[in-house]
Amino acid sequence: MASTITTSISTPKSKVRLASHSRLFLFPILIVGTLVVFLLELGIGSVKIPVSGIVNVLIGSQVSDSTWSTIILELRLPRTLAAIIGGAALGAAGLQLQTLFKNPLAGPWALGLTAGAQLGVALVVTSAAVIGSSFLEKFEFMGNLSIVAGAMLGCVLVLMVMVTVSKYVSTITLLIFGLMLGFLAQGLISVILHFTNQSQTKIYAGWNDGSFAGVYWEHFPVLVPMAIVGLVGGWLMTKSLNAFLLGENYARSMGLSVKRTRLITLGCAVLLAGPVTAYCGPILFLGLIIPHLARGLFSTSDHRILMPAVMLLGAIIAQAADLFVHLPWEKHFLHLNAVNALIGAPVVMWVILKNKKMRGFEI
Amino acid sequence: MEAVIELENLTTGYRSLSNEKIITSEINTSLLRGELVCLIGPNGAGKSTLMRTISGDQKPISGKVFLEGKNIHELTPKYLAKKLSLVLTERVHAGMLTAYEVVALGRFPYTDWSGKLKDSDHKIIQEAIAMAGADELADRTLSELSDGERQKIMVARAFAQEPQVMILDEVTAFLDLPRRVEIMKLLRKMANESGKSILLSTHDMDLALRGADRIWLLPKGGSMQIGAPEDLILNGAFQEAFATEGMHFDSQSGAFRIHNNYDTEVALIGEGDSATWTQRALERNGVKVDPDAKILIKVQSDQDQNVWIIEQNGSETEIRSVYDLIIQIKKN
Repeated sequence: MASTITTSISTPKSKVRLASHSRLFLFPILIVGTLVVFLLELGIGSVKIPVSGIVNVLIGSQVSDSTWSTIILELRLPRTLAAIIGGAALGAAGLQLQTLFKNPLAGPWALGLTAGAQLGVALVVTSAAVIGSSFLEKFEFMGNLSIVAGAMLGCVLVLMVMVTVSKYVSTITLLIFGLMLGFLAQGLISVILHFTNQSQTKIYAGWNDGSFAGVYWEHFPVLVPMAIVGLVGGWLMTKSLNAFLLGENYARSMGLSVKRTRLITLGCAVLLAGPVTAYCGPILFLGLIIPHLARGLFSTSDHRILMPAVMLLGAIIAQAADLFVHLPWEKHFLHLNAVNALIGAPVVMWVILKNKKMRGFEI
Repeated sequence: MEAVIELENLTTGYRSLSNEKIITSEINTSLLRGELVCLIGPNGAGKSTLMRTISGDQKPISGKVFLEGKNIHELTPKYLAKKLSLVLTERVHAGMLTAYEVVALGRFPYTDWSGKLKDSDHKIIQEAIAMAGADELADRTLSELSDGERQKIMVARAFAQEPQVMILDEVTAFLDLPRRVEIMKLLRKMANESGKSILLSTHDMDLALRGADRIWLLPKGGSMQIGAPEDLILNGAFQEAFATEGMHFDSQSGAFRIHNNYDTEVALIGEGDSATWTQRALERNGVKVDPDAKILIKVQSDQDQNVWIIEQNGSETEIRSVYDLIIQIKKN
């Protein structure tokens, strides 16, 4: 008898106990998955390019067909990188917002951040038109920056409204409020665009249909640093977000500064969602569904696992959706948001049916 | 014994720019090491405000709260978290976190930025879970647990925070009696074996009377009475605090009784459980038990079978259940 007792005590229970760590083996699979989709994105399209061709273009050596180099470097690579950054950023922002608002259907789009960013961009484009139409072309980088600043300002304003409203309304009401805020922004945008000339309206209309294809190399010096700051910031806040799972009162009792955590996390969400929306337009569903897929896959709510998981999953799903859009369809032009809706809507329905709080029985 | 928490002329309440609303005033007392104190009082007496002020969450109107000699409202949140932990009424929705991971969050004030748990942390977490008798729950997610199991885990989490003081606000509110007793036993164990000072606010008078070392009794609008449960009963403080229309605290049985306007009187002869419960049923139905009454009820127990005999005006009626007895008495 004595021997059995000794062994049960000396067993390192700590390793057994953290069930959430049992699926860590999925990370290498996700990394490989990201690379595979990356290669498919570069290789598949109206012109098929073999893997060897892609590798040669990327490392800068000679390729048999010179158009390959142009197609990859000018079209497919910036688009793919935008999808990677956009997917990772929106996934991370979605996770942060869901935990902070304690709302499983929160996300940059559902909370109206996307619409706020669009409104900000519309305002910048219009004021540029009023000041002088050549403004944006003359100071390319500044124009670039001002669009992003407009998007982020729009996000911040919407977030301030949503944070205030969230104190007074329930989970579901908040989502409806966010959607209404989105419609309101859309209405305002139409009115604002009335004051611009036709060519600019056309540019906006194209942008208003979300796509990673509108991102060019000159956008990356703004997009990348902001996304990196947002992602690193998000990573640094994972411990605090875990405490937030128990609710603000418990989080505070553990020594967490609730105000500071909220401010930093929301700031990160703005840095992640704002610039992506500024360059890619409104990308629907991704920010909302990626955290749920990560939770399902890794079977945990631990943000230290979820944060890297949403980044990788976001990169994979955004690339895959973009790849689907750019398959050589013969008669038809697919919209990115249509593909997102095909993946996203069923996930949202599943979340609603699964979650008691969402069904409205328990607030 | 050493005081861990001291209240000095503590007046709690809310202050806005234009006015201040005082909830409880001028409290002087202490919470000793290893002591389990229950804060009880009628609704609206200001228990929650007092609890929030003592836990450092709310500033007092005047006076001070000291934790190991330091003013609690001047401590940094991180320092305070290593000295004082909370368990709250609210139901926690922690997504897919397992019970073990929730208890592990008790180590929050001690871990680095990444929240990485060292072996020593795991040891403390396992001890807290073992203390709470929650070993079988550890691997299950919080959402799978019952209310009682969940509160047990939250108590274990508060314990894993390694505080000097644990403050628990109405944590047994949603639990049934066996679960409430279980939590109380657990808290007693934590106070006795680990020297934690525990302050528990509760509505459960019976549990407080049986489990507390001391009671802080907060009457509505009055001053706080402090003492061993028995002291407060013997000096009448308890009866006074909960005196309401149609109800009184019976110091004989240590329970509340509902007043009745008696319209019938009977004499009761009998022993043991059957007599006790018969009397209760009679009183509930507005029948006073008085030895000099004209109607006599005899309770007889033979072979696990109870028989009630009503003697009235020389005639006898035999009855087989309390329910029928009440119907018969009411007929008269």
